[in-house]
Amino acid sequence: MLVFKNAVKVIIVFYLFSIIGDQFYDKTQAEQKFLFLSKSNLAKNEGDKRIILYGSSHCDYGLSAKKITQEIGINTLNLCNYGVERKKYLEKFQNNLLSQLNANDLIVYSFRLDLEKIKLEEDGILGLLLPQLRVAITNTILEYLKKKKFFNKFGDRVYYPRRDKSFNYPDYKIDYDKINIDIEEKIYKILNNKYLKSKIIVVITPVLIESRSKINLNKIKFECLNSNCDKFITWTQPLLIEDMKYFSTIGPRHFNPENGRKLWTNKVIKTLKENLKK
Amino acid sequence: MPSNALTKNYKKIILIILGLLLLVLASKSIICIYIITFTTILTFFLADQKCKIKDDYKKKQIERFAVPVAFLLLVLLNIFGLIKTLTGTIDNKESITLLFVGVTFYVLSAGAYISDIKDSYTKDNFVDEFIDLFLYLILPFKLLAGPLENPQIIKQFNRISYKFKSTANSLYSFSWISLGLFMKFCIASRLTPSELLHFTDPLGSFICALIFELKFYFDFAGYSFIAFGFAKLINIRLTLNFNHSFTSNNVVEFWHKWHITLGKFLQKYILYKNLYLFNSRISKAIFASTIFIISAMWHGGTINYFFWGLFHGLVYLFYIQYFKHLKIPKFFGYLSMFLFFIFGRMIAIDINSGRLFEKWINYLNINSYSEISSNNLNELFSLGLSTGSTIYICIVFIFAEFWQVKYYKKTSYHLFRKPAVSVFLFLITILYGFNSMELLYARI
Repeated sequence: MLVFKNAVKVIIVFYLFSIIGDQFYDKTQAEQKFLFLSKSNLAKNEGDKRIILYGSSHCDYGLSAKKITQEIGINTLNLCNYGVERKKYLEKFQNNLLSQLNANDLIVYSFRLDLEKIKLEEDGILGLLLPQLRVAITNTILEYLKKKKFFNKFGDRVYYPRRDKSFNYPDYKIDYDKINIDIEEKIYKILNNKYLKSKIIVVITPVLIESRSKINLNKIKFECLNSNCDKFITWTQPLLIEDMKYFSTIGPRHFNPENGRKLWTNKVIKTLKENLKK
Repeated sequence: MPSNALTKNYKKIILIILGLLLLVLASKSIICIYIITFTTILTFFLADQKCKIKDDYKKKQIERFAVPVAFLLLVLLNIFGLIKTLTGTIDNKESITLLFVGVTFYVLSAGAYISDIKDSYTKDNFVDEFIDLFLYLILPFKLLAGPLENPQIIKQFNRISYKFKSTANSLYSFSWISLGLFMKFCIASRLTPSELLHFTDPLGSFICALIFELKFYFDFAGYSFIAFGFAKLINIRLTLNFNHSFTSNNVVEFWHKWHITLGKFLQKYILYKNLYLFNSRISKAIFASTIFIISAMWHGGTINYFFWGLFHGLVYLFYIQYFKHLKIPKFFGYLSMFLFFIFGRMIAIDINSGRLFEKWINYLNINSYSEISSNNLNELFSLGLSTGSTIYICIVFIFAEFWQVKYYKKTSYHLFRKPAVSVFLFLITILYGFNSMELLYARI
């Protein structure tokens, strides 16, 4: 009984430490790419132009800053990272990012259409009570002990976890009013940020869908009617993708580097070329 | 006087506040507080009115019909789509709040309270009684959706304790919580059978139903054990809702081991209260079987739930009328139960009746078996499980249950609650547990 009692005490203390540790780890992981901004020497001189890719894990997996730099000729940094759009981080992270950018920078802001039946970015109270200690341990081992590099100097992901697992097309709920309100809220939130000095292009994340006909892109609308619209350059509709070959790494919501990242990066490059000429 | 009663009942009031808090967090709406308070007041009033009736016959009639009326009300709400399905798949889950899951249990509990209450309230006890009723309905350990306790549990409310003085009691509670957390967050969360729902070929639909059955068991039993453990921690003993259900050799044994509280509830308030209306053995058996249809329709108001109830009712009827008297080898008993689990679950999970019929027809079509291959099987399991090892863990878990029950002759998950195993399962949950973002009660 005494051994059991002490073992339970130890494990409960361990559990409480895991919860606290996981919160620290999660925040550190979510903001890790912002360190690239202060560390990188992309803007050597005051007035140098930079392109900053900003968004959640979809553009971490799906965009290549290196390729954009090569094609456009402007230094580009991929600051997309998982968790940055979580409610608890969004405000602080966005302020942190925008306050470090200047008027010459161009932000390529990417977010998902609001189609999901569950909020992907939020894990609620159960997420807090169920610490992802295993993930923290695995990543720490990979990063510090095995010296595994997750990102290159452009902030592009170089390590793609692979899961040999089949997946289906995601089951979406398409409500155009809700989608349009969500787009409006997200764009105005960043445009109204007091730290914003840079210009913004919004590129909506591509969507894997069983049939393109299921989404009518004409019904997805946004018109900038805000006093800060001078900073807003344009926005692009999402690519609707039926072929799963672009997504075969960790499920239907993240691109693979072979096909998916190439496809979306090329689309973003095309958008940039069209709009940077103006 | 009321302030004295409040002081006297502070332990119960703490639990009521906790229950309301859980309800608000889960349903993300404050309106639930009004609904549950209104339900409590209405139940309190109706119970009091019942007690004031002088005519014994009328009283008996109310006692007989209170729970059936509650069932009927919920079935109607289900059929008209107001509370949607309680279990299985739903087509529009974002319009569902957990409050509606809770309502199905609150209404039945209210019916049971009205049925059981014997004495009218007095000036001295009405606050105590109201608090007891409120706590009975909202009892936080039900986690909104069961275990479905009957009002006898109210007797235990006076011995609620927050002192945790007994080490043995705390460790006993820990062992149940640890087991429940492991079953729900390490196993059930990794089963993703809804990905397989669209498969209509025999192999695909079979694997889908198999994984669904496992998910229901590990999810619901898991969270029933969490509730059981937390309740025990403060000295309330809930009914153990599952007791090695898959080790059953026949359908009667199964219903004594699966969602035990619902079974007992139906038995007490519908079966026993109305059985005297039937004279012959066969008519009694048919009546008992029809209760399965009521229970199924309570789970959901779509046609598949009717078939689900019919399936269970017929299997039950045939068993008690015929098979019970035959000497069937145990192996066939277990095999038939396995098929009973799979085909029963197949009906319950599919609200798309066209697709459900297609699945059944495909079992009769020889050509639909042509695609069975190991590759196909691998792909199905890959879709239905978020990690491949989960199926092995399920198999080991269930085999360990068999070993414990059949050879070790112990029940109540004795093996899984041994001190070392409890600590180990808790550690595994800390490392591997994850929230699948699905709602409680295996709602997919």
